[in-house]
Amino acid sequence: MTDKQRKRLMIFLCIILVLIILFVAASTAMERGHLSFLEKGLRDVMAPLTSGSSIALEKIGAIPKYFVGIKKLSEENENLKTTISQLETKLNSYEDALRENVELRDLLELKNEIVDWSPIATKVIGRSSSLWYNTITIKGGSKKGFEANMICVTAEGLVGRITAVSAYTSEVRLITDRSSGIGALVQVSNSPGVVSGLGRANELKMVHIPGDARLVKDQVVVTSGLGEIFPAGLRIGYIGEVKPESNGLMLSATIKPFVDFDRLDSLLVLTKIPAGMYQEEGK
Amino acid sequence: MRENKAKIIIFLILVLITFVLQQTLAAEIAVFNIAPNFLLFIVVFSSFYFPSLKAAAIGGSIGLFYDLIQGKYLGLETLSLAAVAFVVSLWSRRFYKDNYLIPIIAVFLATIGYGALFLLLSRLAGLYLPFWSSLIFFVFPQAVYNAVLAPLFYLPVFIFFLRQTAEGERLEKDLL
Repeated sequence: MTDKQRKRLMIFLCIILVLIILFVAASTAMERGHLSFLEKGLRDVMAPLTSGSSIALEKIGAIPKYFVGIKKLSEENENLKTTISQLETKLNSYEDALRENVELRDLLELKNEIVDWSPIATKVIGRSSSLWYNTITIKGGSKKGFEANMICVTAEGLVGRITAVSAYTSEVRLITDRSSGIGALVQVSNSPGVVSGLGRANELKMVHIPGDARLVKDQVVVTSGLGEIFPAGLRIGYIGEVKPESNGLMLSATIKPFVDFDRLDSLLVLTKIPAGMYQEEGK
Repeated sequence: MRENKAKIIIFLILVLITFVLQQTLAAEIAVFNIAPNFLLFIVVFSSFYFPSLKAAAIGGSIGLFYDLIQGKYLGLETLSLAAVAFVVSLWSRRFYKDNYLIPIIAVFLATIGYGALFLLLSRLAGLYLPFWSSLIFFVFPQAVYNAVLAPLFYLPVFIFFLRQTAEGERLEKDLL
């Protein structure tokens, strides 16, 4: 075989290899709840290393914060005292409302259903710093009972959902990921739309909002429960700028998420979604 | 022979540390949501010292590892990093590696090249990412950030690969 022929063969083999890799990439594009043996193994091997590194970084990061924070703490303490007294007043009125609610429910003979989400608290052990995907890795996988499509939340609001699990870790696709899409409602006005990620931690976009919807800045957006993954009523964020969509018939809005994704270090996995938390299409 | 084996083991440990830092530290030091790509550092700097095919194999292996950890679109990082390593290895032969501007420029251009290639390949694999806006708002800022951090990461790699040679000893004395 001459050098020229060898060179041609090499180019041909390279093209074949690239095509095979692209085929593999395309076929692994869809969400896979179950990872391959190799992927699971790698994730479980890397888990203690990333977990250890996260803890070490957290401890190192806490040192300067401790010294800088003392002055801020006393100011914050004063502010908190004022807030507590305001909240106590509010709490009294809420307790009255609650008592009234219970009485009215009794009158209407409505059953008091206890909503059980069976939440499990866990820690974030790794964050994807990739430009293309917004995902995090959490401690706990199939051994802890986690499964694909389980919802992750914090006290502030919705974080995302589990997309892949290994024995000891789970991957969570954040709502800020560009491929994420959630059926949502604007509270009060009940205007529906779809919230999708922009690849940025502090901004989401809500599209396909009816053109006649009355949207006001800072209105709260929650999940609508349409579809089979996200239940209704989970807090997503609040409305920012509202603009008409290019077709002129619908509106789109920027959404500021409630969750601070830059400082997310622990969350709750909802392992059980209570019945009746999903809405049927068209309702 | 034993020295070479030790070098390979140290290199593998370096790669592993880089992966762990990419999964943890990178997001912590993100500026305006743009995190640096430590894997590109190791791919670019090791390509300075390996022939192009070997560099492509190393870049491809690091990319494959990254693909397997991310668990989606397997092969896109493999191809992108292999191609970047191949080009950097060919390009770097024309320059002296003791010039501090070389790693900075190389990392900047490699990040842009990697990002553009990934965006093109992702379309072929069915992942739709807007090309120009991703390049301007994500890839370009990351290239700048990577270039700023490049000298910090270059020194240990530089010493690691060259310290056995006379040139390395001279440069180590000059740099430290």
